[in-house]
Parts: sequence; C-alpha cells; structure tokens
Amino acid sequence: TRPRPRRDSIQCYKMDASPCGHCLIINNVEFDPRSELSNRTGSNIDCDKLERRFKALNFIVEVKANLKQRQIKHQLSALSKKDHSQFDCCVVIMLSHGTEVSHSRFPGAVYGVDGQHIPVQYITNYLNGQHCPSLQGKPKLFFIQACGGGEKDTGFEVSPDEVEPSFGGEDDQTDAIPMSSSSDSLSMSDEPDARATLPTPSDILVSYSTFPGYVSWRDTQSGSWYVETLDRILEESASINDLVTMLMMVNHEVSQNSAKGLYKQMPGSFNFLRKLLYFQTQA
Amino acid sequence: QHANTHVSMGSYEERLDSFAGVQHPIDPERLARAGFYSTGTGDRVLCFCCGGGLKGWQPEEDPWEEHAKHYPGCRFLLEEKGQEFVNNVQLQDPQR
Ligand SMILES: [Zn+2]
Repeated sequence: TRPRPRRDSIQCYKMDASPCGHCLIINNVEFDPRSELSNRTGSNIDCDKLERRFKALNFIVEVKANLKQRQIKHQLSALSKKDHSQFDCCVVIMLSHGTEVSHSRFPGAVYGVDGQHIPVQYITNYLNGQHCPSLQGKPKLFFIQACGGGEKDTGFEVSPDEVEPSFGGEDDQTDAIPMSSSSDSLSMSDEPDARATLPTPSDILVSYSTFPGYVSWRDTQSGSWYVETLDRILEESASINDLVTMLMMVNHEVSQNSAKGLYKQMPGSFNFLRKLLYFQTQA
Repeated sequence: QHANTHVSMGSYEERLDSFAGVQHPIDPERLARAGFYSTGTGDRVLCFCCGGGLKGWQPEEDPWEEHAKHYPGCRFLLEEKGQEFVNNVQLQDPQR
C-alpha cells in the first residue's frame, strides 16, 4: 500500500487537522403536497450511513432535515460564515429530488421541500474563495443524491439567465450570496489557469448520484444505490485510496447496477480539485 | 450564459467557417466538431452551446478532452460524448 501523505504537498491536500472540518447533510424526505414531489422513503437510511461515515472520517457532522429552498440557502450561508481556518476541508451532502438546469461547470439543481429548487452552481458558490476565504485553497466537496424529481421534471430545464434574478430578490441579506459566476478567482492565484477563458473554480469537487436530468435509483428499504456504494467504498478503501480513485470505483459499480434489468445509472463527477485528497482514517 | 446568444453557431459548417483565415494550433475541423468556433482573437474559441471559452492551445491537445476538462456540464458535450467520457476526463488524476 501507498504511504498516506497527511501534510500539504504539491501532490496532496493537507488533511490532518482534527477535526478535519465541517460536514453539512441536508436530508429532504417529506415534500409539500403542493410541490407534487413524492416523499423520499429510504432517504433516512442514506442520511444515517453518511452521518456515521463522515464522523468516522473525523468531520463535525450536522444533519438538517426537510428544508425549504430558503432554509437550504440559509444553512449554506451560515456554513460559509463559519471560521474554517483551523480545518482542512469542508463537505456538503444534499439528499433530495433534483432537476436539470444548464451550467457549463456544475449543472443541475436540488429541490427544497417546498418544491423550489436551488442550482448546484449556487450551492458551490457559497463556499468558493470569494465568499468563504477561510476555505481558500482547501478542498470543498459536494455529494449530491438527487432523485429525478418525478415524472413532472423529465426534460424540464431552466437556463441560468432565468434563474439568476430570483437569487437575491426575495432573500434576506444573510442569504444573499453570489450571482452567476462560478469563479473562485481568489484561490486560483497560485495556479492561474491560462486555458479557460471563464474563471476556473478551484478546489471544488461535485459528485452527483447521476448526471442531472437522469433518474437516480433509490430503494425504499436499502437507500440509494449511489449512497450505498459510496459509503461502502469509503469504508473499504479510504485508508489506501484517494478520493478521485474511490469515485472512479463508485461510478463503475453504480453504472454496472441496473434497475429492473432495464435502466442504467451513471454518476457524474465534476472535479476541480488541484491535488490528491486522502481522508483521515482510524487505521 | 452564452447559450442563447450563439445559436447561429449550432451547425458544424458555420463553426468551421469561423476559422477561415485564422492560424490555429489545432485542426479547425476537430475544433468545430467539438462545438468550438473561432472568436477571431488569437487562438480563442468558444463553445456554441455552453459558452465556455478556451485559449492557449497546445498542438497535442484534444478539443473534446479540453471541453470535458473545463466545461464538464456542457449539454452538447454530454450528448455527443456521453457521461462516461466526461467522468474519465474529470477523474484523471491529478488534474491540472
Ligand atoms: Zn460546451
């Protein structure tokens, strides 16, 4: 087995702070009937697994259940206002219904229990270098188990232009964060990316249970394929493998699975990390 | 953001035409096939679908791979190349 680097280096993120960082889990199970979104039976199983898993990885885990869109924004805003200077990493986990929203880097959106959605791009913006300076240069991880959103949402799409104006409009001030840009310009100063002409987000990784717009399978008895696989692979191999390698394993396993022998699910990884990431494990 | 403003570059031929008279380190046919058209400024290209721009091209680079590396959410990219291709590019380690 490979030696597990803990210190900051050119190849690896520093991950030896104890605790390692905050982990916020938003678990949306019961939806307002007016939203026409079904209740997400089985999601509590996912939530419990991930709460235990990230505690074992030495994160301070906080679970919030059944949040409306503005409450999701409020929780993210509160997380971004925390002082993360003693920590090495930050994790956000969203378990909800999802839908398709176009974006060049982080497409997709997640529903509040009120049926209002929040684009993934905005979720990541809360923690970028501009809005959360104490996480600058540190890995910010987003795990999203987003179920298809039901029949209602197949093929439903909102362009970023349409979404933006509502952002900030009805929000109170504490929740007002970034407009459109996915830029993380402050934290890219050490390694300017000459390739892309749009500001490149850095140190952000988003792992989706499925590419936005596709169905994500959840078993009412055993939870979702994605979370089950993610949890198991973290348990089995976080002590030897880096995160990106583990996500390749998760993607491979989930895509091999099939529901009713008919449908496939392929998780999506949108990775703007600059280094390898090894979690802290007991071993 | 540019998704709607560049609808006119939706066809391969139009994108290819944009490279007329432009010296580019990458074969314009490969760029056009990967959704890019020339902005006329240096080697800068834009994707007609996601609006993502790229410049500073190296001759050995592959337009689809660069598209997937920097703009993995692009719908055109996903439709043409599929999720597995995007994942493979995104999970090459260590990125950049
Ligand atoms: Zn594109």
